[in-house]
Amino acid sequence: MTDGAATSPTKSARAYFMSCAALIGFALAYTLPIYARLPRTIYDPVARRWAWAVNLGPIPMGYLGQIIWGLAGALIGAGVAGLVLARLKREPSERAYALWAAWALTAVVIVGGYFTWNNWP
Amino acid sequence: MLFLENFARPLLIVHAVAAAVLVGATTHHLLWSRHYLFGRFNTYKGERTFAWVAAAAFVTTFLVGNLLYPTYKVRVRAEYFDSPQAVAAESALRTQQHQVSRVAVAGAPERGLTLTSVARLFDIKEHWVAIGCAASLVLLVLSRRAHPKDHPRVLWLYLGLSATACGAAWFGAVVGLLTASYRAVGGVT
Repeated sequence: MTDGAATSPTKSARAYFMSCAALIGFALAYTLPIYARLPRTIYDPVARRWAWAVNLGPIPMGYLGQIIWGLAGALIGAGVAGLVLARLKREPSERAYALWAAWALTAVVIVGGYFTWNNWP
Repeated sequence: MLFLENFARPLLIVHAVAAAVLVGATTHHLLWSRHYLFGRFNTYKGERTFAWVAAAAFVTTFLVGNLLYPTYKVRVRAEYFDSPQAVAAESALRTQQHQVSRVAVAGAPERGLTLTSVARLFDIKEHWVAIGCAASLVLLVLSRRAHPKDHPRVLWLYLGLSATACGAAWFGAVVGLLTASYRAVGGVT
């Protein structure tokens, strides 16, 4: 597949939509363990031990686990977008570009707003 | 002994230097990208370089920050920010030293004061920089694979990501400096 092909998405279109899906996947999966109280990898810096849990108190750090969730979400998002684009037989419309940009940026704002609201001093 | 606690100070300096590069690169990137709104792409080579520098600086700052995090979480957050006794003791010691230097400070701290609000602001920063780091990496991919110069439909996402990365970098730097100012130039208030 090369840029300029009329019957399937170009390489740049694939990069664009997979990037949007990866960002949306990252943002949502990063938030999911907090919002839905799901277990994640937690490091206890005092005991110097790793655990898989929802929460272990104020000192153990769940941040790294959240990042891992986010990375997994990004990979899944990009992978699903790649599979869908591989089956698509035409170049995505201008409207699709605008919608995916809007969804990606909205996901960023919603997730940032969620954590700002929840941690507001 | 906490993980990498012995190296906390050099790591903090590396973290700060990387953050300075990050703030500079993301700001330059956003400023140079604004020309694309008017169809001017003559600065795109430099802009793409800034996209690369910004992503590299974001990842470096983020990784080094994570290496420092156990020390921050225990020594700064738990043992100081969230501890009214530690804040009161620090305040009393500083008041005593102000009497020695005979230079009064404006406003005495309240009794039972904690600095939990600072720690919560730091938590907000952590989440925004994680999002900013992701935005910066996506921006790097787009700058190489689907640049607005050749693909105008990408422009709004490109500018939005640039603004997100720049805003997150500035917010992270300001909150980081604010946090480090306690027990330093800022005292306990």
